[in-house]
Amino acid sequence: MPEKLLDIKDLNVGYKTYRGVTSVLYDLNLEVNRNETVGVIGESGCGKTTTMKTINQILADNAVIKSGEVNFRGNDVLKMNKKDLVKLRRRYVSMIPQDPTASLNPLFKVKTQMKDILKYSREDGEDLDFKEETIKLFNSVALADPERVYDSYPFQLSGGMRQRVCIAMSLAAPKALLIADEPTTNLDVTIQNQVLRLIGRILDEMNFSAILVSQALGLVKKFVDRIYVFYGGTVVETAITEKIFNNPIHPYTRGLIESTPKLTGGGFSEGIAGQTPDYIEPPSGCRFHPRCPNQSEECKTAKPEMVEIEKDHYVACWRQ
Amino acid sequence: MAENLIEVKNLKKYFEMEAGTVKAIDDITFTIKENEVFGLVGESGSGKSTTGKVLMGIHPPTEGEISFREHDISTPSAKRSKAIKRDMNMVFQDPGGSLNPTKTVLDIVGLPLRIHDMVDGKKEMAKEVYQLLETVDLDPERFMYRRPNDLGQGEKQAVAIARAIATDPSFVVLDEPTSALDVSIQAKIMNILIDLQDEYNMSYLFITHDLGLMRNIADRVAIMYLGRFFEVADSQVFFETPLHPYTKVLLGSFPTTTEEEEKLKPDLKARGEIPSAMDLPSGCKFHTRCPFKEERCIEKEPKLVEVQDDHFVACHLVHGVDDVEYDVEEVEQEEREFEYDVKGIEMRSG
Amino acid sequence: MAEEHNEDKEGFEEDEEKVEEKVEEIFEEREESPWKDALKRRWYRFSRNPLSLVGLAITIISIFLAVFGEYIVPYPEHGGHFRNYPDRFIEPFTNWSYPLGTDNYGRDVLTRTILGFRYSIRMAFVVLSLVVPSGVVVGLVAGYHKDTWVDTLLMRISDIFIAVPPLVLALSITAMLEPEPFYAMMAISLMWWPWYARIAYNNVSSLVNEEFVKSAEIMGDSKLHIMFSELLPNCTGPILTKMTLDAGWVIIIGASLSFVGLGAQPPTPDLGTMVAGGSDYLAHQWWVSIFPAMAISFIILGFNLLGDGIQDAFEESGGGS
Repeated sequence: MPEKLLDIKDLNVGYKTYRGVTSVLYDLNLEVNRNETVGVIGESGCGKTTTMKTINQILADNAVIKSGEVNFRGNDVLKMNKKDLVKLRRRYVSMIPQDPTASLNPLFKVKTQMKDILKYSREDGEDLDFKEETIKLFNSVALADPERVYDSYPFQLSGGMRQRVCIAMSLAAPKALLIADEPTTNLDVTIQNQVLRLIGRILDEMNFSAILVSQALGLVKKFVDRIYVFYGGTVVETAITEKIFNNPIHPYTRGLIESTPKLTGGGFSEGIAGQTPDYIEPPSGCRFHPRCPNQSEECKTAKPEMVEIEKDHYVACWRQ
Repeated sequence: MAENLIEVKNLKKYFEMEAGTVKAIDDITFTIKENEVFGLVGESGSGKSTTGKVLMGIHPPTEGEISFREHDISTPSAKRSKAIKRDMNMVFQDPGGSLNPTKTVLDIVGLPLRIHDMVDGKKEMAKEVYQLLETVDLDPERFMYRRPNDLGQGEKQAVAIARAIATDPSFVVLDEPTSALDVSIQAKIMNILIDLQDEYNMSYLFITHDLGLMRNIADRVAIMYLGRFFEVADSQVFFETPLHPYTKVLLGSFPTTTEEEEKLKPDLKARGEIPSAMDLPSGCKFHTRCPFKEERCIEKEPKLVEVQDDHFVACHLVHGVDDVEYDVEEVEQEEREFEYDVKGIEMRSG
Repeated sequence: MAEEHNEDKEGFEEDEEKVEEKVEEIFEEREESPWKDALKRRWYRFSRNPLSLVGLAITIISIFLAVFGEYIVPYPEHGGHFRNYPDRFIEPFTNWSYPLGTDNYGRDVLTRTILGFRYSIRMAFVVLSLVVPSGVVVGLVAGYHKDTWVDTLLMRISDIFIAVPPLVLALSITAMLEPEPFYAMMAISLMWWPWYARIAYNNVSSLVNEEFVKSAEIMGDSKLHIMFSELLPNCTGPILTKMTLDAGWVIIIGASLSFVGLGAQPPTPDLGTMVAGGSDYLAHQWWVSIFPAMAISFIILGFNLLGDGIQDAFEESGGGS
């Protein structure tokens, strides 16, 4: 039995556009072990959604997987045939998407869509009382009027409710790996907490793993064991949660943490200079160097390697 | 003494829909002074966005009065004088939607200048826009002739801000201006907003659901729930010694990243859902989720009352612990100051 | 204005000059940059489908023939009352002098067909120039005033015109008046404009609640300016697409009218008229009708393919990172 549930090695992915082929993911390495929750933080355009979609093989038509491996339970997803991929998505990996509106079919009522999910992803799929199971799931995501939601079309629900329906769908048959891509961005803060705590409980009880992608550092801090910091299509720092927040090393990580406004006051930091890299002609060497306060000549020449700074704490930066 | 720039009295805004009436704003009263940042915080359905839009004249009020420098503006924007429209502006939440995709940055930022005849010809407009782009940290040479599609989210908002201040207004409504932005860009934009407010002597109505943001920009804060104000206070008081249970709940749910913040947070969590605005709870609208709810909370709606110096709260429990001694009618008179038992509330929360 | 906030009054004048220079520079550059990029993007999307390029080629050829036809045809005089009975009904592909054969009067079919392009293209051009501005303005105004009496009035009027089947209306009008190309064009225009009103209306009414419109309103922009300067440019995509596809339709309706004798009269080398003229001889001298008919198809095909390509070019792209 392989130790690692998910092992992404040197992944390179790009997209075809009118200006050429972009190079988004750049020698990306990421691991998820059994029974752990991993956080991915990074701003828009850093490649986090591309990575998640590569795991599930649901990338857009114009995506190009240039090289690398995505090993799930020892098998490379990139080499899987259609049948195995379907099995992967039904039984082993589920995803809470970023945009709930785009993920629910507007022509069918919620109950029909839930029935589909339950039927195909649960072991006992055929024999279930779909309504009962669905109501149970809805209760667990704190949907106030589960019967009404059950019988509604997606357009009749608010954004927050749709998101919770999507979360319920992904929890319908909890799988080995749950990928949550900004699952609570549209939810009110008071509900966010409830929902994330619920997901955490389920993961604990079932010994499942999860990847939580989010920009909300505070949320990620509370709910994950280890964190990967993404920038420019690659990982710049990774460590257990505590170490990332107590001792951030990479200038980008520090910039992110400093930019988060504090409840205790203190004003706003300067932010991080510059903007997201152009993936057609990305910066040479370390992709962060144009924005880095510490940049040096070395930083322009080659991509920094991951170095273990302290136990369970790795940074990719030439200036450490 | 700073003048009152905006005065809002008993404002109500109801929307008639097929399914029923949505009471988006249900009787709020407040003032915004010159040079002040007034923060409006709340979750979805609170009515905070609607408040900004009614102030700007996007929706006319259903009832109540609004005045700007003592001119009545309880009307839709079409009926307001041009001079007033020149003196007020707004920054919207969605950076994409608020910029016309077929126009260049020059045209977008220059539009208010043209509307109010503040420039004579395209060249002069270009000069003004050039300087405005510099104030929002956008390199005019790169951005002046770009179209919104070619801009990043933060850049779009910077353009929206440049446009909002182009006519040198004294009042700007900012409706969740950074919600769609990445955290590092948000910091940059917030800094720009703070500098501008200082330099141009403007007042802001800053609307957001993010308490962390609010802490760092507002002078005074009002928290809104289902169309009503629950608490209004100076920023520091609001965050360090909040009184209303909802305020505490919201603060308690805030995802913090540092130890100090954890210590500041009240340890209170909400239960249940936010009720629909079409089917409002009786009495205090928060009673369905409040950990301290009592009988009187279901029966009677608490009024917003000044319980401390410049600190207003709408909560029965804060108004008076012993309502045996006080007549409930008298409790709701606005001028009185009341003793409140903070310890009593804290004990009940344990 | 912003000047009032410059603290340093002395440095102020230097800044003014610098700004002035910079603005001059940018003014010159501007002709190129934003257009180039947008054009590149549109062209990329347009040219992805090779059929669109075919459509573009065909349309260019058609317009070229319409404009320059008379200068390049072998027998320009065959476009009128020419008679050459000894050479009548020569079969196509048999004689280099008359590659597509001759008709019942001995006139060169190739010449007349090429000359026919002018009438068809002209009809499309005239009709669309009348119909598009008027229809779009009506739709624009109605859409901006959605759900008011202005909307109801304008859109119900346009509904009345839409309700009548186009060919029937055109037939009745030209039958009442004289059978002439001019009246045919007027008739077609009369029942075509509501479609543009509808397209503009749909576009504008969906944009009316967008924040950039609200922003212009709260800043005090005039209604007229908002309609024409803010909203109208956002409708160009669908309107341009429809115009291109419509060109084909107008041409075929025009040809139908000519076919039944209500458009251009013989000996005018209008394609529809020529098809009618040769219909008596379809059995044995098929080429007199068929080549003009193929020309009609050719033109319409060109416009249709071009229209599809334009639709692609103006579609908002998706695809992320």
